[in-house]
Amino acid sequence: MTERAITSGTRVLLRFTRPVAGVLTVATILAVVSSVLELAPFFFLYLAIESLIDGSEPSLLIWYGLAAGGAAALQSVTWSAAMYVSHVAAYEQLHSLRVSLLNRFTRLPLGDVTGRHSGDLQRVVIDDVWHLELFVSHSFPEFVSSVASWLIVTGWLVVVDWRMALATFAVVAVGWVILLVGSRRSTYYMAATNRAKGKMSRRLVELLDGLLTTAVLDRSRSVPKNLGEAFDEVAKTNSEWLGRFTPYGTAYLALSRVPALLIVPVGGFLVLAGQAPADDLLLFLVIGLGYGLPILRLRRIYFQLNSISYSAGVIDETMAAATQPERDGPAPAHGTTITFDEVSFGYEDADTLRNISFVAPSGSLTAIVGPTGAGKSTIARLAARFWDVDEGSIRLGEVDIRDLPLDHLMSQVAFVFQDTFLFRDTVLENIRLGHPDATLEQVAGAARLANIHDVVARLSDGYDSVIGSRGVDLSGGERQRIAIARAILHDSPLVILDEATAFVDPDSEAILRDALHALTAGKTVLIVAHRLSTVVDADQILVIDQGRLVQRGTHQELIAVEGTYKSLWLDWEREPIGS
Amino acid sequence: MIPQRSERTSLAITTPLRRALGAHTSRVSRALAWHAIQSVAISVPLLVVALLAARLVDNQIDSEFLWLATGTVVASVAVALLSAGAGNTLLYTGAYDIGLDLRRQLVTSVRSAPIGAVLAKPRGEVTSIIDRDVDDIQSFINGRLPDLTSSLIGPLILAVILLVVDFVVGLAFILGFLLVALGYRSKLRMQARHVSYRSELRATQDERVVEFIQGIEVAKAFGVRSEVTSRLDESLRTYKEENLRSVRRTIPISAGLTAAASLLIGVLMAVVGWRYIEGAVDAPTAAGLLILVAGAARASLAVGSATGSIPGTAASLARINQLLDLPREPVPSRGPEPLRFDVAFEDVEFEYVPGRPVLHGASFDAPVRMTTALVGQSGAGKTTILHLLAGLWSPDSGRVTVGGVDLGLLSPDQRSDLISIVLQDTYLPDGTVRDAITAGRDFDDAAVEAAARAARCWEVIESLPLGLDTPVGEGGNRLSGGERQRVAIARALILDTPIVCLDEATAALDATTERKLQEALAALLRDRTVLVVAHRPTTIRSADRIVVLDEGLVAEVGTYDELMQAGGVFAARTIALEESKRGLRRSS
Repeated sequence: MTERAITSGTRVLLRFTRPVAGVLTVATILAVVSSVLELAPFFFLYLAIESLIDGSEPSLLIWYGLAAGGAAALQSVTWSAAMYVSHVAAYEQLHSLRVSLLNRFTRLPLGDVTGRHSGDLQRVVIDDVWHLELFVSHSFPEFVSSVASWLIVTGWLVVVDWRMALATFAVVAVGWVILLVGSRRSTYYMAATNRAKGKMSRRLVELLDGLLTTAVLDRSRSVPKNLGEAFDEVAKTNSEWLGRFTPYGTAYLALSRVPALLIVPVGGFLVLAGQAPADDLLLFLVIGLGYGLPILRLRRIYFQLNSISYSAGVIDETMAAATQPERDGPAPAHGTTITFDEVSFGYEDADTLRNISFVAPSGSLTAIVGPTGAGKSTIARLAARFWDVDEGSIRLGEVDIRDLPLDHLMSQVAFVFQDTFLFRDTVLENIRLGHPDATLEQVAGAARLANIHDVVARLSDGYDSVIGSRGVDLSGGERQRIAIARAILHDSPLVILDEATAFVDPDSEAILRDALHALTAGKTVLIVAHRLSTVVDADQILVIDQGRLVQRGTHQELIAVEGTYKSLWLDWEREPIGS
Repeated sequence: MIPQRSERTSLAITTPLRRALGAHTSRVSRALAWHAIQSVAISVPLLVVALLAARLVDNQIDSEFLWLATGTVVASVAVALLSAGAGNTLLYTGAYDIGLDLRRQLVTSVRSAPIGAVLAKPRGEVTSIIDRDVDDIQSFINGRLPDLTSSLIGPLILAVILLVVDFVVGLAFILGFLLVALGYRSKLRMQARHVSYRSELRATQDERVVEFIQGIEVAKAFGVRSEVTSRLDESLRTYKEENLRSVRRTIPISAGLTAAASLLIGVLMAVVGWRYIEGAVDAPTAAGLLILVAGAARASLAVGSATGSIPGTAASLARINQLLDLPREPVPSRGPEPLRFDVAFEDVEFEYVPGRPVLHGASFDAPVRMTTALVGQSGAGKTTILHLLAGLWSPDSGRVTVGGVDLGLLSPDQRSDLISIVLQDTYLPDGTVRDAITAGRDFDDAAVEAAARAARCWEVIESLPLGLDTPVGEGGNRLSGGERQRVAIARALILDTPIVCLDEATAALDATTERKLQEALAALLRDRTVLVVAHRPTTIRSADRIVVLDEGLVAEVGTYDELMQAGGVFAARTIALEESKRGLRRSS
């Protein structure tokens, strides 16, 4: 990351911290007070030695000592207070930032939140937001207070004697120049290290994910070659970075620990030549003992800020991602016929669907079939505005679905998808999502229709059992039936089904089918079918191939003609294995 | 759910650290010796400043002294710089070599352990140990060890100097330092407890967030966004309060302890003053002493920051060592050669997790040159039977035999010569397509091609840029799932094992891919002992024998017709399935 990027990242950071600006200011003021107090013991030390030079009252020494101790204790108390207040601000900000990010996610096109994107979004809300917490709780108050106390002390020293001040400052300045030169290419190294580490953790996850399948074929105990290479690469990039940085970092550290390096000759000869009083030299010598402290802190913060402002940039970008336009206000009247009118849609440049037109009349069952990757699921998801179409329109009755308030549209549609997501909450609450005001009786009624009531009744806490907790692991088929119960309770005129690709065992298959039958009776149904046995009695079958609608008709009509459907059907009917 | 406050914290670090350093211990020791030299050198300027202050009080500075003082400061900074450079170079190269060794050892330990022991751990935990905990050790060695060294050496040198200059001040400092160290120790313990509590809070909080993101689809689909969001808001708010309570509880105590430690500078200055008033030291000496005690007090406080990372590192080390100490699975040596290739399960009992048995005395046999289908509901034990055949686990009691020989007596090589296993989800070890097919053994191109053709994957291989020599990519991801599976079939064909175990795909592939797969399987399954975990009605119908599993027991065995006639579990299920196959609108 370049210097410029860091400063713009810092602007973003300050914008993010505006909501907690008041509390953070208090924390920062306390931190500044504390940093200034950090030098107070050295000042009393100076007074003590000066009293020795002046030959003042000896008991003063004891008082100066006590004052120095008191100042040091006060310094550490104000610092703790600053840290307390800054943590209050940090947790407050962490909370509000997370909630506003997550709120924003619910307004993104649904297709952008699911699938592979969900991992990226998780990283933003989890890792990057935690970096901001660090900024508020530590980096910001430490940065401001270090700079402030350094400026105050330097200003004071300049007033006392600009020549000795320059000698003190010069050592530190040289140190900083060395540090900046040393970290010149750190962006490049940071990126290389992050890349190598990313590869390593991906391969580690792969190793663990594939542990069982791998072990079946390969019982070797050595480190897999590609993982070993990733380990080597991490070590190599890390070493290269540090190999370059170490000489500079070492020099910087040594210099900022010894601001006295130039004070001894410069101040000494000035005093010797009668150009400066001995008192002043003494002040510089003593203050020099603490002069390096804020600067050493600044170095650590400088590196922290690099990664923090990177995270701020990522959060900013995520916040700026285009949300889906939503219509407010009451919904216009509409029917329950679904119409696709010349719909084209491409996802990330790929041409997924071209000119799809069809009508699914109210109360009919429309099945969508086709080879893997043809765009079947995309059609189903577009009908529920997972994304908005690029061209053409989708209508519910006579109304474009984009003209319906999103929550209203969703109240008209029930979904059952292949992978069923259940919240880590009670069975009751999971089903009740379909209709938040439903009574337990209504929930149980839906569960009966979905053939899941008996399973739930057998759980130790019945409908109050928390899904995913110990002893409540439901099978895939059972989870799916919970989702069906949810959809039944939702009781919407439209039902969209993405049929499970997995074959479940025969019993469950039968149960599932009954549940689906209860859900779809009398509704307008769009079903993405993976097994052709499902579609034989559909009112219409849409055959999709490479993003185009290639055939449409009933099963009887379609097997009577040569075409994609007929060949799919023949392949389907062929006897597998052995015979 | 708010995590329980964890009580277990340990600050013990020396022994586990030495184990982690392993062969690199001497390099790290040398590095620390350099850092000790650096700490000595960096104390010299303080001594020079103290002497200068003494002379200022005495009004005795001359140019000779100034030149000497300057020369000494410059020389000591130079020595400090060079020794720190030498130490740092040894440390950072050492740290990454140590990290590399640890990671390799950890992976080897994971792969040598009984697979059940590894699977029993949360998967994220294992990766995070190999990834983050090792990182933590590296940065401890690289960054914290030198600080720790100087935070101990610095006060030590100053103690010696102070003792020499004035015995009483020296003693006062040593006493004060010990008290400060004790104070920091208890602060560290308390912090360690709260830090681990807060990191548990953080982990649960992160879980809620992940759950929320995964649930957006459902929340949006059912129009309950605001309900779900406000529920999350509420739960995150609880975490915020809990975090703040923990901060409120720790900060006053740590503030008190640090404030008490900071008093040290004042106390020592007062002691110097008292010695001066007593007449034990003269004014110049007192001035010098004042500078020295200020430096000494500062060095003592450095112990606090240098030790701050110990609790975290100790926890990382403990987790690393736990993973390194996983039990190792013994490797049996070559056993008797089976003369026949029938497979038999004899009263096999098995449980993955103690108390939750999966097989309760399953017995059946799979005769040679026949296809035996294993059927049953999910959880009936079908996959477990494959795992036992692959030797991933051993039966808790009973035997699995090939030609009458217990599988447990055979070496891994013998097993792989006997049994091929083709899973639904096939992983290909790193290497070229050729390696994947030949399993690293010697076969000529013609044999490889013949196997690939029979497995219906030759066309795909030919279209790859380097043909057989194309790398398969990570885990085989250069090939599609169906292609990987056919490569695995090609391997089973070329290895020509007498026994084949097949986990039939549950996923419905598109019909064309499906047909290719079936053709490949037809070639493989001829004339061998075949065990297939079957999901599809057609596969089940065409099997020579069907073994029906029910709740970990063998319920029925027979051909399709025999079982249908017997009218047992199998017949009932099959009829139910046929009934339900009529599509969604059977009434219309």
